[in-house]
Amino acid sequence: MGNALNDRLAAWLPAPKRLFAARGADVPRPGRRRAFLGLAVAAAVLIPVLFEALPDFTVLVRVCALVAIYAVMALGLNIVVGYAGMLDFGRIAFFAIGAYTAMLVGVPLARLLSQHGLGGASYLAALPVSGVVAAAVALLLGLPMLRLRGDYLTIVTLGFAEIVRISITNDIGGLTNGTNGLPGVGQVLPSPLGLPWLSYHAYAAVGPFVFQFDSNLYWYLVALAVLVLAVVAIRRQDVSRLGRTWAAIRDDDIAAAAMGVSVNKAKQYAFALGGFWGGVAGCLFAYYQAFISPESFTFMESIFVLAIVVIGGMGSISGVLVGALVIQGLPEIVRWWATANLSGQAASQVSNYRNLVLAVVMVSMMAFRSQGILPPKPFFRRLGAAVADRPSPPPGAASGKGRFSRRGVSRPGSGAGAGDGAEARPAVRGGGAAAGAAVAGGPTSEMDVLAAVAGGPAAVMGGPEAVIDGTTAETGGPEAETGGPTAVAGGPAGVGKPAAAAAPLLAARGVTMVFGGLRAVDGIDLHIGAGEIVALIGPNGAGKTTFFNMMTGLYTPTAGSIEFEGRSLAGLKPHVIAGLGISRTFQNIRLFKSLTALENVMVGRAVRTKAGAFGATFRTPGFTREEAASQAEAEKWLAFCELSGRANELAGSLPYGEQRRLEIARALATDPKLICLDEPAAGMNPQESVKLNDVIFGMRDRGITVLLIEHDMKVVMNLAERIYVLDFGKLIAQGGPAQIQSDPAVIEAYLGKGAEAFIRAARRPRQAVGAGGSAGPAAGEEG
Amino acid sequence: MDTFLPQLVNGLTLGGMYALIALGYTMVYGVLLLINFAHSEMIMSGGYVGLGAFLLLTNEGAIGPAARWFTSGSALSIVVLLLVVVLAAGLVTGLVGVLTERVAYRPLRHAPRLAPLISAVGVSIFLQNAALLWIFPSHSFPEILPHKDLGYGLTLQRVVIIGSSVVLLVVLDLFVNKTKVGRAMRATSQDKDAAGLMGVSVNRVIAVTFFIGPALGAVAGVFSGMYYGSITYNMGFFPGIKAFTAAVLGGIGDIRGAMVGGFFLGLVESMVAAYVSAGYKDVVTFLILIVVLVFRPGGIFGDAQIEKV
Repeated sequence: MGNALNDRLAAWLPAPKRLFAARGADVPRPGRRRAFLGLAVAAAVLIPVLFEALPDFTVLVRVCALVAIYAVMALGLNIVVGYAGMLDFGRIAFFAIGAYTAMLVGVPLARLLSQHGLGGASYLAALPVSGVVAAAVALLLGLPMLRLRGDYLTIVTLGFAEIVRISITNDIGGLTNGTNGLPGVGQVLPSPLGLPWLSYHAYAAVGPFVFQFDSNLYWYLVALAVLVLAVVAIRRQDVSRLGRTWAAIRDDDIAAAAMGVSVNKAKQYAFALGGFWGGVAGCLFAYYQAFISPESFTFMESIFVLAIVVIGGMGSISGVLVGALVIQGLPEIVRWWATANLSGQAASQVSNYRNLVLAVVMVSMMAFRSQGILPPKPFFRRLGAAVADRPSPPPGAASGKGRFSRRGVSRPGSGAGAGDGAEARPAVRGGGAAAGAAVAGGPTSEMDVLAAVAGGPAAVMGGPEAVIDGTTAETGGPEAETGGPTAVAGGPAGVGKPAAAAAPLLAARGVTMVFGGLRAVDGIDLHIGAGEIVALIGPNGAGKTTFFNMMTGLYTPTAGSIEFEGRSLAGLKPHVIAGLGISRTFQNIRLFKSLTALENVMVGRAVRTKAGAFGATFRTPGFTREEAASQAEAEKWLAFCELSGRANELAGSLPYGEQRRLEIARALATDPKLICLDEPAAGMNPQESVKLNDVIFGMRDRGITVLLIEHDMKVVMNLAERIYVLDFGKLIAQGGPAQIQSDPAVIEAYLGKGAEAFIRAARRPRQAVGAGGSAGPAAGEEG
Repeated sequence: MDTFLPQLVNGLTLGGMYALIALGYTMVYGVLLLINFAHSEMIMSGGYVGLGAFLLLTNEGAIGPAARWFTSGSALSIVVLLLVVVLAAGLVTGLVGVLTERVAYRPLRHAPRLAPLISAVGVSIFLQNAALLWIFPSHSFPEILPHKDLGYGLTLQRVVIIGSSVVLLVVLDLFVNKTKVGRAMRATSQDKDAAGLMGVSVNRVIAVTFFIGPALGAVAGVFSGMYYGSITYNMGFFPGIKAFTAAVLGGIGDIRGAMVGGFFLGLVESMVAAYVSAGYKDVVTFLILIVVLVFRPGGIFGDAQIEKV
C-alpha cells in the first residue's frame, strides 16, 4: 500500500523520533514498509472473518465487500483524477460497462463451466474481460475527447456516463432489460463459489470458530484479492516513467509537452487504466449483487466515487483506501448500529442523510483541506530505490570551474584555429572538436552555401563582425570569421553525418505570427549553425518568446517556415519537436512543482525512454534497466547544473536561481541538439549569472547549440557569438556583440530616437575606461 | 404537419426555458471561468419557491381575504399572481445563488482548477438533498394560467412561457450592453484584474452575476413546473445539462449565443422525441454536447482560442 499509509501507521508506533530522522534522510525503508503492508492485508482478511464468526456483526461482511469493490473503482478513478489531473464526473459508466460485460460473458461461461464441476470459476475469466472491454471503451472515447482540457473534459465524461445510463435504461440491444434490470451473475450460478474445492456448503473450521463460506465472505475475499492486485499494479505504475509523465501533465501540461511528454498518450494511458479498474470493479459488482439495474449507475454514483478520491486524498493510494472506508463504509456501519440500537426509521434516516453530509464534507474539504485526508507524500513517494546522496562525478574531464571553457578560448572560429579548442572541450560527443577543427580549415565555400540557404543575412553578417570582434580578428580577417558558425556545424552535431555539415541546424524563413490584429512576429529570417551560441534580444513585447513558442510547436506560425536539420517543423506537436532535439526553458519558470528536482529531470528522459504500463506493472528487466539509466542520466545533469544536493527536494521549494538551473537540467536531459533558454538569467544575482555562464559554455562544449533570450546584456555580450535583435516583431539587426552595441537601429529600439547621437558622443571616453561593462571581453582582447 | 407545428411550439417552449437557464451558465463562466454546476439546482429552487409563493397567496388561512381575490380567477388576479410567483422565485433563488458563490466559490478563487468544480458539484448535491429531506421530494405544480387551447399545440401557457422568455432575454441583453453595471460585467469577464484596477468592484460584479443567473434559472424553474405540472428535488439535472449544452453551442461566455443555443436545443429535443425516439432524446443532447466540445469548443459561432504560454 502507499507510503503515506505506512507513514501514518508508523506514526502510531513508539519510536517517532527515529522515524523522523529516517524521513529526513529521504531513505525509504522497504523492510518496514513491507511489514506494514503485511499487517494491513492481514487485518483486512481477519477482521471480516471475525465479523462473519460473530452473529451480531455478520451483516458487516457485506459492507466490507462493497467497500472493497468501490475501492477498486476509486483507485481507477484516482489514476485519472489524482495522477493525471483530469476531473471525471462519469466514472460510473465504466463500472456499468464492466457489470454488463460480466453479465454477457459470465453467465454463459458459468453454465458451460458448471458442466465440468467448475461452477462459478467463470469470474476468473470475466474479471479481465470486463476490465479490458471497459478499457477499450475508455480508449475509444479518449481518442477524440482527451484533447479537451479542464472543465470541458469533465462535462464530456458526465455526458458519456448519461449516454451509457440512458442506453441501459432503454434496454439497448435487448441486453439490459431496461429499468427492470437483471439478476446478478451470482444468482445464475449453480453455486456462487468459484473454485472447485469450495462448494457452497463447504465449512472450514478455524480454531474455535466455525465459518460458513457463504457468498458475502467469499466475495469479500475475492474483492480483496483484486484490490491488493490493483494497489500493487497502480503503485508500480505511479513510481515509474508513466507516473512521472502523469504528474508532469497534471502539474503543467505545456511544460510536459515541451519536454517531450506526449500529453495525449499519457492521458490515454490514465483513462484506459482507470477504465480497466472500473470495469473490473463492475464485474465484481455484477457477480456479487443479487440484482443489477440502471439505478446503480446514476450520476450520483459517479460523484460518490469521486468523493472517495477527493476526500481520501487525490493521488494517494492509501488516501483512496481510507476514503472508501470512510465514505462507503462509515454510513453503512452507522446504519447498522442504528438498526440495532435505535429504530428502523432512524436507520433509514442515516442513508437519507448520507449524501447530504457527503456534499457538505466535499464543499468544506475544498475550502479547508483540498488535499484530502491522506495526501500523497512526495518525498517518499516515487523513487522506490534509494536516491543516491553521493555527489555525482563532475561531467567531462575536469576540475572545478576550469572545466568550462571561457569565451575566447574555445570559441569555435578562433578556438579551432588556435588549436587549443580540443583541450577546452572535453566531452563533445565523439571527438567533435577534432572534426570541428578539420572543417574550420576550409570554411569559405561552405559559408557561401550557408548564405545561400539562409537567404542572405549570413553573408552580410560576416564582414563587419570580424572587424569589430577582437577574438576573430586574431584568426585573420573576414574569411576566417565566416568560418565561425559553419565550422561548428561540422563539429559536434556533424560527427555522425559530415554531409549535413554545411546546412544550418535551424533555419527560419519569413516566420510570422498574427494574434488578431497584432503581428507579434513579422517575417523573421534566422538561422543557427550547430554549436553556436546565438542570442535573441529585443525590448519587451518584441516577439522573442512567441518565436520560441513557434519553434517548439506550442504555436503554429501564421506564415513562414522553420526547418530543423533540414526538416520542416510545420504541424509537429511539441513533444515530437522535443524528440527531434529541440528543448527549452520557460521565461516564467514552469517546473513540475509536486515532483522532486530529480524527478523533474527524469521527466526530461521520458522522450528518450519508452517503458509503458506493462513494464512498470511487472517490473520487467528492460523496465528496471531503463529506470536505472534514466535516474543515472538525470543525476548527471543535476550535477552538471550543480544541483546534486537538491535531488530529493521538491522543485517548488528551491530558491529562484536554482529553479532556473533545474529547468535547464530538465531541458538538457532530453538530449537536445538545440536548447532554447528563455531569459535564464532573469532574477539571478551576479554570482548566479556567472555560474550560469559556466553552465551555458559547458553545454556548448558538449556539442549542444544554444539559442538564448536574455535581457541581461552582460550575459548576452559575454556568451553570444551572434545576436538577432527583434523589435515589434521585426528583425531590426543582427551580427556580433560589438556590432549590435553600436547599431543605430538597436539603440533606437531600446532608447528611442536621438539616443544614438548621444551614445556616439559618449562612446569614446567610455571605451577607454571600460573593459568591464557590456563591451566586455571583446573589447579587452582587441587592445 | 399535424406533428410538426405542435412540436415546433413545444420546442420553442422548451427552448425559451433552456435559453433562460443557459444565460446563468454563460454569465458565470464569462466572469469566473467556472462551470457553475449547482446552477441546475437554481431551477429546482425556483420551482420550490414559486410553489411556496403560490400556496401562500392562495391560502386564506395565511393571508386572509386577499387570498380570495387571488383565487377569483379574474384576469388581473392571475397576472398579478403569476408575477408575484415568478418574482419571489427569482428573488429568493438569486439570493441563494449569491450565497452559494460566497460560501463555496469565493474561497477557492485562487485554488487549482479542479477545486471549484468539485465544490460546485458538492453544492449541487447538497441543495438537492436539502430539498429532498427538508421540504419534499416532489409535488404537483399548479397551472396558474387557465387552460386555453389556441390550436397547433399553442396554449396560453406556452405563449406566456415563450413570450416572457424572449422579453427577459431582451432585457438582459440591454442590461449587459447598455448599463454601467453591464459594462463592469463585460470588463470583468475580459480581465478581472484590470477591471479591479480600473475601479470596478469585482466582488460586486460577481455577486450581481450570481444573482441574475440563478434568478433567470428560477423563472425557468417556475415555467418548468407549470409546463410539466410537477416539481421534484432533482428536476434541474437534465434541463441544467441541456442548457449548458446550449451555452456551449452558442460559445460559452457569449450571452446572445446562449439564447440562440437554447432555442436550437429545445427544437432539436422536441423534433428528436417526435421523429426519432422519445427514449433517446436526451442522448442526442449529450451527443451534441460532446461533438461540439470536441470539434468546436468555441461554439458554433466562435473560434478556438490560443492559450497564453
